Amino acid sequence: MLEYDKSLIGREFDRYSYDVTKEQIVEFSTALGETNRLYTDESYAKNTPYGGIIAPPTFCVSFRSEAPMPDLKLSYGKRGFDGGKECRFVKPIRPGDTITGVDRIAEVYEKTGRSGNMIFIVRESEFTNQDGETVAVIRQSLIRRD
Amino acid sequence: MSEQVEYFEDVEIGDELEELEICPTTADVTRYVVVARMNNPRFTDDAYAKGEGLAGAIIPGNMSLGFLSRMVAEFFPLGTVLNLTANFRATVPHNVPLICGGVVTEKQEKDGENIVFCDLQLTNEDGDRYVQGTAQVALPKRG
Repeated sequence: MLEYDKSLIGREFDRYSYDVTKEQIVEFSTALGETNRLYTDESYAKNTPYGGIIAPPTFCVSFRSEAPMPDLKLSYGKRGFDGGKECRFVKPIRPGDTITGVDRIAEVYEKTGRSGNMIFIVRESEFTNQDGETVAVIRQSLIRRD
Repeated sequence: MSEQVEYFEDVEIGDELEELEICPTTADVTRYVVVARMNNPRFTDDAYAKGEGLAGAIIPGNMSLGFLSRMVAEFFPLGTVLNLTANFRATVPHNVPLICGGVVTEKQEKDGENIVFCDLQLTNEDGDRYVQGTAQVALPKRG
């Protein structure tokens, strides 16, 4: 039977900010081998509907919290691994933006598989720009089991 | 990149996305983890990764997600990626040829947007699946 500290669900546990530069976007794009000049070429991007360089969708994964997850006081689940990600991209991220991330534990639930019980902890990171607009939301599932 | 689709009308359910073939080296991963601010040594240090019970240093899940995103964006050059999901089924080693692939599973006109749904996967050359995921992409219509 899963037991944990339910008071932590939905509560913000970290807030952090990053300034975005064109150089960071270009370096991130280059590291993935991106070929779309929208991410790297200002003169090309200026003539697109975006009017300038934007970041590739997964750039938001580089906004990282340094804070550890709060202790949920799980009744079991000594070992952990990454169960997957869901990313929702709402608005483009541009050079000059200041992005603020807010992290919460969105939900905790239990599943029973062939190899036993597993706990899924969903960590949600919401990113907003300097105008208070949400630009992206990432939900990361962490799986814990004994 | 030999095949691209620009407009919603040109997409059919069952269409396969142009595959993206890559072979990320340790130098590639090292470069990525710096720009993505991922400082866990399991991504770059074989000895450390082996100490964690892995066969060697592995590619970060975020980097695999980035490759899938790149494939989608290259196939739909006028598209806007709205949503990506990924389930990490197995760790991805360095210096192994990888194939990103996908297939269109659904088309919807919803809230003024023309959305294409895709299933995605990242495999090795033998077809062993490391990552499976989905994408939703908004495409323009002609005219």
